[in-house]
Amino acid sequence: VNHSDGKAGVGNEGDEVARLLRLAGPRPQPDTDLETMARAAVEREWRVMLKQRRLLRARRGWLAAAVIALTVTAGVVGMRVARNSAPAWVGTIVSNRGPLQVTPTLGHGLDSSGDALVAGTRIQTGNGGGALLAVGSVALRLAGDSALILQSMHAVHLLKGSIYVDSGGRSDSARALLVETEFGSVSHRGTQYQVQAMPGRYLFAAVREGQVVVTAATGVVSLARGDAVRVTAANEILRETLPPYSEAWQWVSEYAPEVSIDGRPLSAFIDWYARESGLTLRFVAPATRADSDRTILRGTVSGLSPQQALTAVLATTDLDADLTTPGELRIGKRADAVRIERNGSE
Amino acid sequence: MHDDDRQIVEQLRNGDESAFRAFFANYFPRLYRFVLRRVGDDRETARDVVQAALGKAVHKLHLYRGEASLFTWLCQIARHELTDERARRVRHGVSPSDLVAREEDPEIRAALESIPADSSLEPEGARQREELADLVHAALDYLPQRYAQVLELKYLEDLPVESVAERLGITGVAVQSLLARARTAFREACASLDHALEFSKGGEP
Repeated sequence: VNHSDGKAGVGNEGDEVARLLRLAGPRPQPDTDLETMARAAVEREWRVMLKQRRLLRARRGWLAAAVIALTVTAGVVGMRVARNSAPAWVGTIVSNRGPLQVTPTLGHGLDSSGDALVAGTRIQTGNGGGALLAVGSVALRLAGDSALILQSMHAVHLLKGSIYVDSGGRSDSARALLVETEFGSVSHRGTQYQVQAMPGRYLFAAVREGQVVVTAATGVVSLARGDAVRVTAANEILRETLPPYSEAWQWVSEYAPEVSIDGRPLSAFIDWYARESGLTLRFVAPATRADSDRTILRGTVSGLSPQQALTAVLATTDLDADLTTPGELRIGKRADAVRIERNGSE
Repeated sequence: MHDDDRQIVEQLRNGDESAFRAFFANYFPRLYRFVLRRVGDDRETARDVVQAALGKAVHKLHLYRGEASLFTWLCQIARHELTDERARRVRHGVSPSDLVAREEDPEIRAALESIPADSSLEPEGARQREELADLVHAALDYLPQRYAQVLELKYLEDLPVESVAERLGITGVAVQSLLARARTAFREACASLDHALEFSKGGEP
């Protein structure tokens, strides 16, 4: 990881161009999580297009055969066409770790990035595994030893284990998602939240950002940031609290969309880290924020956890992160020239 | 004719995975900025619009003939999506953004779409820095991406030629040549935009 603050001088021949480019500053980049989700959706459409092309070619072949042989009736052709029409794509596997059982299979090898999923698909992760899915326009992280059925673009049935839903802070119809479980259902109004289903025992839901509504047999509960609820097998509704920065959210970062930092402002990376960690971001001084807007990152943090990535990135700048206040990420100028190594030790 | 763009489209239609990755990596950020300027910097809406536009574009690839650049063609689809988005906002009682991007001026749009075939901008004067930034960013987005990339690495990040060469995987000599062409295309683009701006100002009461 390295960075440039773009302040050094330039050669004579490019002065005019350099001046314009610097006046304008770097081009704004889409947030990585936005890009990841959009890519999954566009890739899904692309695969649908490819499948439709293949079907169209096949139909032409069938029709030609029917004409030549004069034995295939239009009804049979119609039935085959209907049977082979494009399935209802509802989601995409963005990434996964460990083995993933996907039923029914799609026939071109499974558990890989870009696989499109149809309604009715059952997805199960193994112990220590996990997956990031794009369901409609919502990012869904599935923890290890968890199983769900994709019912539609806007509904999943969590059979067991934990999922984390991130709607990007919006609640429009495109991002609606109903999570059904044995003991109740959870819907959101623009949020980040997790739902845990323990078959025969309880449903647990907790909110990191925004609002969710939990509907159980004995009542409806609205939850906001930091709230949690447990619905027991006896249909008791037990309110709890779970701070957005609690360790109970830690598993979520293991399946975060890979963050791309190359060519992006440092501030965008810090914003991402704060949201990903459930922390409230504070810059010690407005000038620090401005500095981080101007600093363009280069390199990659691929394979690093969010915390490791923050340490690695800040080590290349004169900024430091203060995490001593619970729930807060304070960014300020480093008081001294201590260099933080990539492994986080000083 | 934009033969390179037609080739990309053909690869996409044939299911080339690497072509899809390159297509998305190249066009998503550029289209995102194109839309972001038109939705009042609402990032989520911009994402939705671009996602919808690219989602439709991949179904219409067979209609791309190469008369315009692929980016221009995608922008046209994004414009339709923006219109739909504004209609949706009105239907849901939300005021559509009153921010009209400078690029929507027909003269500016024409100038942008003719890049890199055109004419030096002197940024002195009363023009707002933000407007200038929008225009410079738009010009960079309409340039061939290799040009925009080399200009930013050299002049915005101030990297030496050797580092730019390493980053782009080409020789130092090739970087110098690329830079020369990119500077020319960028100056011409800015001059076109400047002319268009002056023209549109001249038309104001």
